[in-house]
Amino acid sequence: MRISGAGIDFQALFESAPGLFLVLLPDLKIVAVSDAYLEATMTRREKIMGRGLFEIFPDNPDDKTADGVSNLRSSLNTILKNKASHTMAVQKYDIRRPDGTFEERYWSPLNKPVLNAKKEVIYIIHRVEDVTDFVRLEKKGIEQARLARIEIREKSLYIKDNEERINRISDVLLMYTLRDFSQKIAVSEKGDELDAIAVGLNTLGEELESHIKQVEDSNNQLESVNNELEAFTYSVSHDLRAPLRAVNGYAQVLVEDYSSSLDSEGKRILENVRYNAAKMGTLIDELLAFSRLGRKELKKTNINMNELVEGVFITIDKTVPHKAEIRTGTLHTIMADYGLIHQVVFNLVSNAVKYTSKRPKPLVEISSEEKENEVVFVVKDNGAGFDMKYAHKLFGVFQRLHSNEEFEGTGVGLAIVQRVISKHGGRVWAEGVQGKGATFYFSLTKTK
Amino acid sequence: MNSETEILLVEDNMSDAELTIRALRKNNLVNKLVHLKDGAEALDFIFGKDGKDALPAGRTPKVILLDLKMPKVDGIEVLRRIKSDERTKTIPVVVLTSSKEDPDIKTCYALGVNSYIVKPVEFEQFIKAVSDLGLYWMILNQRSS
Repeated sequence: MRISGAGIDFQALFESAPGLFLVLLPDLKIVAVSDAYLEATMTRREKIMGRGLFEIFPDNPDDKTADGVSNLRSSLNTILKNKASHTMAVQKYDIRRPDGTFEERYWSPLNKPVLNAKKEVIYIIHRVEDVTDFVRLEKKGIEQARLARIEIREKSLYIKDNEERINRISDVLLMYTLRDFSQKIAVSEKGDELDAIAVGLNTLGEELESHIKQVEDSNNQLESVNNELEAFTYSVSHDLRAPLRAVNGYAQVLVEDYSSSLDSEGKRILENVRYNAAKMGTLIDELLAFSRLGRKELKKTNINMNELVEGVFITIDKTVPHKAEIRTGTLHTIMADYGLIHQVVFNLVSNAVKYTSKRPKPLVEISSEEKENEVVFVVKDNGAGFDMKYAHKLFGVFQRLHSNEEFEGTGVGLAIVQRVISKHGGRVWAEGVQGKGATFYFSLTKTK
Repeated sequence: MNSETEILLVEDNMSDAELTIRALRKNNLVNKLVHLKDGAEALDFIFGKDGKDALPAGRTPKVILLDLKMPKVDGIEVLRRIKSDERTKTIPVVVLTSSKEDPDIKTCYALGVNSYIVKPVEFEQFIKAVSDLGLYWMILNQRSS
């Protein structure tokens, strides 16, 4: 077909037009094409002229969802029928390369009918724009956004997961501090720092558990040895009473029924028998009291120590004659077994009045002091005191630093003090200077 | 006139028994007192050698002084037998213990013991125990006869 007029080569103009144009007959045979169109579709003019549109541009057989042919056909049918232009949506319409493979392409097509005077469609101008690059860019953007969303989701999952792992680690640590080692931390397969911590803590938990079990086992052994010892002490002191009763009783019979047959030396010796038997009775009583301490369960209550000390003074004034001045400060309140602490204070204060009895101005001072974790009670006197090199003997059963002639005693009082305080988890200690007084301390853990 | 056993002393320690008897006698308590040396003898005395039939005549004591720690049958077992038998459960039993802290005292009270005396048994303690049991008339009667 030649198009010419006024000396202008319309064919050359059309074929060189900066746009992708294809001209079809109503039966969709290709009658004209711009160079740009040929280039974009990788076709050659002589191969497509006079051929059917869909013969030249079939769907990509590898793309099962390809609908370029049917969309274009439907658009062309529409303009043939309506005789009006139709702009199609952006289409995926892959292009066959010369080697027969397909290349992905996106197009924005416009179909326009060319009518004669009778309003009949004589040509169809099919103009397209290759929007493949735009679509790809857009798709890339969408893909990037999708990837970014996935990454954000993964990161937040990671953070959430790590947060849960850290919470788990701190929970298990807390249980460790409560001596519960039953929980293990799950180790993920990530092999990260948290896994290293988990593995380390799990091992630590196992080690701590086994250590604590060892300590508990030896405590239990110690406890059972202690119990046996106490049972033994109790039974021995019980058995010692019987012959002692006999010694006492028969000596009594001698005094009552045979004193006329005894001279003064005989009576003195008999009196010594009775005195020593009585003394042994006291020792056994105190030993029994001491052994009972071990078996007694602690009944802890809040103790107003000033009231307790007042009670002790009443007992002391009744049972131990003394002239000591006793000064008491304001004392701290503690949680402890009332009866046992009463015994402790009684023993310390009665010791103090005993060992100050030879002073011209006997003085006993009772005070308390609050430390970080404990309350320390102090009983200070200006009595006989003791040599610090024997301080370790003070709290042993039947250990005495003074002769019976100097100061009477059995050597059980301070042993009881130590026993009671250590049963409460506290400590006892003493400071002294020979001839210048002694200070006794006992501490009890603070109540929270 | 009264030939029945009035005081039954069950005590394995001969010194304790002698001193107890002496303390009571020295204060002119002349009631008929029988001393048995262990729990088995006590059960034979009270229930008869072959056991459960009629109680031996004239052998129901007015009061039993019972030591706790004895060979063969201990005081707790004797107490249990006496207090679980309808024929003997009303006999007052006073247990003798070497300490008022003896945990056995609790067991004894659970079994129905009437009182306890801490050894050595002194006359005053005995009198107080039997008086508390309402048996003082028994001693008064005997002392006046």
